Formats: sequence, structure tokens, C-alpha cells
Amino acid sequence: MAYKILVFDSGKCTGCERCVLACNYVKTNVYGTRDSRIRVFAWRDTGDFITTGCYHCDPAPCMEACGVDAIYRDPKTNAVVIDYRKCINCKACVYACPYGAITLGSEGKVIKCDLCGGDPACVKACNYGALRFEPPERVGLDFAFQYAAMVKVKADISKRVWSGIRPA
Amino acid sequence: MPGGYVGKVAFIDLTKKKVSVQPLNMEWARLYIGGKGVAARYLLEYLPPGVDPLSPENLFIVMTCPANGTFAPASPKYPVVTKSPLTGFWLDSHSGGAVGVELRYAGFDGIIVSGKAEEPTYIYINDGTIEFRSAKHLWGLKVSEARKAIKEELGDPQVKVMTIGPAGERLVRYAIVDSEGRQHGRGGAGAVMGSKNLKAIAVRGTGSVSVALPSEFERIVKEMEEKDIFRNPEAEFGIKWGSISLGWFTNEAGALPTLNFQTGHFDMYNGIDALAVAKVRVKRAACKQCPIGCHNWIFIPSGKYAGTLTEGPEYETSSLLGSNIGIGDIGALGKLNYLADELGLDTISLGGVLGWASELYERGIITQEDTGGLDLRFGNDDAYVILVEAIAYRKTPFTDLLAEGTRRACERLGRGSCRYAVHVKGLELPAYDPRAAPAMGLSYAVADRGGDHLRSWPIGPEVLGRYWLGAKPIPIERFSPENKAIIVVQQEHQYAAKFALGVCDFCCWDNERLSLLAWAVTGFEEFKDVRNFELAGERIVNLIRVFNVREGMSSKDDVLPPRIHEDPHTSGPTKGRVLPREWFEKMKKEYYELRGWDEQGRPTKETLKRVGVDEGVFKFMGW
Repeated sequence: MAYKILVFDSGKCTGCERCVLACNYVKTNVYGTRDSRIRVFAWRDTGDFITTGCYHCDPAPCMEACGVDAIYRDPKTNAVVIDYRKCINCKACVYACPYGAITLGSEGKVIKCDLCGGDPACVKACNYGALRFEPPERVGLDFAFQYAAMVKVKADISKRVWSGIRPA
Repeated sequence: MPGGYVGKVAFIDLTKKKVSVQPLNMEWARLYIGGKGVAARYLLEYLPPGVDPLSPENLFIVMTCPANGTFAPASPKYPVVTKSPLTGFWLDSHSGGAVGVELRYAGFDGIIVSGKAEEPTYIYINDGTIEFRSAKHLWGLKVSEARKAIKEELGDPQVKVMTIGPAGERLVRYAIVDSEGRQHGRGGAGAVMGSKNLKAIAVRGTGSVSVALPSEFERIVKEMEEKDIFRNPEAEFGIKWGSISLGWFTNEAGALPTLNFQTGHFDMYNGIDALAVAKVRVKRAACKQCPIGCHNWIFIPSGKYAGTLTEGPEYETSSLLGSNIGIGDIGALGKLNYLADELGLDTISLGGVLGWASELYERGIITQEDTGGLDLRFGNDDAYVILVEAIAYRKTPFTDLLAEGTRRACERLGRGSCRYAVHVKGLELPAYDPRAAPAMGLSYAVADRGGDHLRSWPIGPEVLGRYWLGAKPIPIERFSPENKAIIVVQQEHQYAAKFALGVCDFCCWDNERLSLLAWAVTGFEEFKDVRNFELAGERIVNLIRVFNVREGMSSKDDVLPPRIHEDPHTSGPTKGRVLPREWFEKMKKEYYELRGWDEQGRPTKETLKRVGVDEGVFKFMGW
């Protein structure tokens, strides 16, 4: 189990879309957004940015929906990838994906994230820590720590005053 | 098509509802790089001389830059260009909003809007097609409401929207154009859109752009990221705090405009400085393709303005809407910032206008009878909150006056009020007081769009006391007119070329690397030599001067408000200082000589030939 996990931490996303540009460039050698496997949605009136992409589910709905077994799991990276030799472009995977992570590229073929073979370009482009490529044992730790820090502020443990944090 | 350019410009006539798509003039692109440079050439060619800025004849140009939409760091900036309703001269106003990049993906280098629509309209640009849509239902909506409504109507969350607020619709002369939450702030471009009945421009593009020399480009981008951004102490301030961190520096230097430029140091500044912002900051944000991420999102948790969520305040806002009107509370500042952005007002000019009105009120030149019962003392945030909204809607005769900007307002009001109006050519001064940095005075006086800090920024070298002329440092005496004009000249070259390329003023001050970036993006061999890059900047400065001279600008317009020369600072480290007229005249004379302009501030024929503007420009000078 040496593979790493692509972690989306949208709370840190600034909406710069460098991940989108990097992804698009790695796949097509031009700068744009159409062929990016990763997307950023921006709500500029509230400052919210959400990054979406493939979470490489297990079991993967796209893999199960594919009628010609063109989607398989890469043993090296644990990524769910498309085998274009088998793919008949029926788009069943697009409809099956609960996250909209599979789209049609500018060449008309279905496209999805393949983790760049184990070295994702989007992660290298992100300067804000909103996209990370982490070993499994690390995943979730930052989120847990963020929550703990939030509770600490509310509880004000440093002053030993318990201000009544109760489970919901 | 060489890399960096899409190759198409759309001429959109709102009167006839006609669109004509023409190829980008590549000769001009090669000479003037892109953005404000190319737009200046188009404006010069297609705008008849002497038109009223708010008439249908005026042009509204959105022009993108070669580096927009590529992976170049901090390079999403693009200008809107028009004739300013505030100054009557040249106006370019840049923002890092996502519309510029999207416009390139949609297949256009720029759009040139003329005429006036019969009824409220917005333009929808979708992958090469341009259509006119009714904006009757959008008229009157605030900026974020209009943006949301258009996205819902078009059914695509990825549409990028450029829109005006109620202030633009009512032709407030310092109305902004909002581009996805970032503002084309200065000079009143929003009023020009409003005068054309144009509420918004919505853009969606699924195309792409490429650069001329991809492998060189990748190498230079990497170098820029390493040297200009991540290991650069100047950029580090932007990364950590945002532009607001400049306030510490200017407040200590005595250059922070306070109480309508009466002094340069604000005692309550720690209530609105970078630390105060960081305390209520909930999020960082960035323009497209930018690794710096200088925007702060703040949320006011308590007090009178609890619940205010806004982006900002930037440094200029914190000064003009803070210290300049006596406000030292982040809650009130956040609220005013929010109102100005949503209603569509330029925070710098708004702060200048409010400061001017407050000073008149405190001096007894205007009374509550004039203000409609408002107590306009400095620092009275309740009155300002009411006033800002009233200005945007031109609700009362008094706010109707203020909506005209300080120059027109003081001329109409009379009573000697022009003595207290702080503007250059009608554009209210931004947040660096020239009495604490004499070269800043020259910078404001000769800036192409009026009193503005984004044409050169000599306050940095002045206060630090060092400036590199090529490889060797020249000594700089801060309070002296010596060696100042050369800084302004050289910085103007850099800024003009850099902005034409699309790079943000908050990043990348190394001309060599910028020049190489221009070369890699456009593929024009001449930019391998940094001197040609600087020359392109000089060419743009001269081209815009030709436009301004055609519109009637001369050396008598390149002056500072009397306050800067006559009223000494009343407190702080620069107490007692003015900018002596002799110093200013000396610097200005030197500047004209270095530029190769005559005493009237007109470029000479030799100068235009030396910088290499195209032959077509000469006819505008009557040659």
C-alpha cells in the first residue's frame, strides 16, 4: 500500500485555478479550462471556493457502470483510469459518477483524472495547501487538527474555562 | 498566429446592435505588446477627438494582455480603457477579475463597445458568438445580485460576469466596473458603461491559449516563482498580509493621507492596519493564476457592523476610507468597503470626496442645511454609511453634487472650496502623500490618467534611500528634488510595459525576467534584449501622451493641488513639511527633458521617432 491519496482541502482554496491550468496543460499542452480534470467553483460574493475532481472511489460507480470494462484500477497508483483501447465513448461513466468528475474533453472523448501516473501536476501548482498528495496514514489528520483547534478556541482551554461545548 | 495572441477583436455597436469581428492589428501588437498599449492605439484611431465621455460616441474597450490565461504567475490583469468621465483624458483601469482570461478563452483579444443601447442591455459572449440580451430586470441590482442573476439566467456557474452597480447606472463619475469580485476602480469606467445602457458583459469560453515558446516559458515561469515570489521579501508581505501591510510603512513615513490630506500620520491607524484586518480575516483569496493570493476576506464578528462579510480592505481603501475620513475602526471600514463595492463606487475617489466634504463641514463652509441634516464630522461613520448609499443613488441635491467628484463639485459649489479639493486632473489622489515623498508628487502630476500611484512608485526608493540605475546604485536624498525625475521615468517604462504584458504590480520587479517572459509568450525576438522591453514601455507612455495632448492636455494640467504646496503636515514624522513649488517645478522640468517633451509637455517629433511609434500616430499631432 505505497500509494498516495489526492486530498481536496477547499477551506484553503483561494480560487486561483492554477491547478486547472496545470492539469489542462499537462494533458493538452495548451492553457485553458476545458480539458482540466479538476474544477474550481467560485462564489465571489462570499469568498467560497470549492475544488472538485475524482476521488478514485472504491468500489467505483464508473467502473461498475462501464459495460465494456474499459475502466480499471491502476495497481501502481490506485487511481481509477480509462483504457482508451476499450472505451466506446458511451458516457455511462459520466452519468454514474456522483461527483461529476468525468467529463467530455475538447476531442470529444470522456476524460477523467489519472493522478498523472503518481505525480499530479495540480498538486505541484497549488501554493496554498488546498490540494495535497498524502500517504494514507496522514489523510484526515489536518482536518481533525483544524477541528481540534476550533474547539480549543471555543473552550479556551488555555484559561481553563470550560464554556460548555456539548455534543450536538 | 504567434503565441500570446488570440488574433481577434470584436467591434460591438450598441446603437445598431451590430457586431463586427476583425483581426487584431499585429503591427500594433508587436509595438505596444497588448493590454493598455494596444488599447491606446485603438482608442486613438477610433475615438473622434473631443467627445463627451458620457456620450454614445465614447468607446468602452476591454483589452486583454498576452500573458493572461497562461501559467505566468500573477498575470491575469487586464484593463478597461475609455475616456474618463472624471478627468476627460485617458483612462485605463486594471483588475485581476476572471473576465479577461475568460474572454481570451472565448476567442477574443479584446472588445470595443460603442454607441448606446435603447434599453438596458447586457452582452453575452459565448465561445466566439456575441449576443445582446435585455437587462431590464437587472437594472438597479447591486453588483453581486446582478452577477448571480446573470449566472442563473444563463444556467452556467462558470460564466464570468463584468457588471456595474447602481452608481454606474446613475452615472456617478467615479463608478467602478466589477469583474468577478475585483474592481476596475479608478476614473469612472462604470459611468461610461452606464451611459451606454450597458449593465454587464457576461463571458464564457471553453477554448484555450498557448505561448510561442513553451519550454522557454516554463523555465522563466519557474524562475519567476522562485525569485520574484517565494524568496522575495516584498512579495512575502503580499502573501502574508495583502496590500494592507503597506500602511505600516506609510504611516511610519508620514505618507498616510489623514483627515483629507491635512496630515500624514494617523494616531488610530492600529484600528485598521494589517493586524486589525488579520484578526477578523476569515479567508485568503487570489486572482486567477496567482500564487500570491493577496485578497483578505473579513467578517466583522461584533459591534455596530456585526455580520459584515466583505473582501478587503486593500491598503488604498484603508487609507482613503479610513484615516482620510478619520475612521479608525475595522467594523466601520469594512462596512464602507462593502457598500462601495456593492453599489459600485471607487473607494479611493469616494474617500477623497467624503474627506473633502467633511473638511468643508468642520470649517463651516457647508452646514447641515447643505448636507440634508447629516453631521459630517470626521470619523462619524453613521453619517458616512448613509451618505455612501445616497451618493450611489444620487438621492439628494447634496449627494448629487458629491457624485460628480471633487473637481466638478467644488467648481459648482464655489465658496472657496476648491482650496481643499485634493485631486490631479480631477482624479482624487491615492494614499501616498507627496509631502512625505516629493517624487510621488511628480508621479501624480504626470501620470497618464490623473492623480494615480500605479504609473510609478518612487516612494519606495525615496524612503529606502537607494535606487539602482542599471547595475549601480545612485544615492537618493529623500527630501530633495535631485535625481527624482529619472526614477519616475524609468518606473513609468517598467509599469507601462509590465501592465501591457498583463503582470500585476504586486509582483515581479525585475525587468530582465519580465522581458524574457514577454519574449517567451509572444515570440517576438526583440524582447530577448531588456532595452527593447523598456523601450516598448516608453513607446506606450508616449503614445498615451499623444492621446492626452490631442484631448487638450498640456503642462498646465500637470500640477498638484494647492494643499500639497501650501499646507504643512500638522503632526507625525513629517510635521511642518510641504512640497515646495520650486522643487516640483524643477522635477517637472527635468522630467520633460528626460522624456524628450517640449515645455508644454508635448512629445516632439524626434522623440516619437526615437521610441518608434508607428507612422499612423503622427497625424494626431498634426504632422
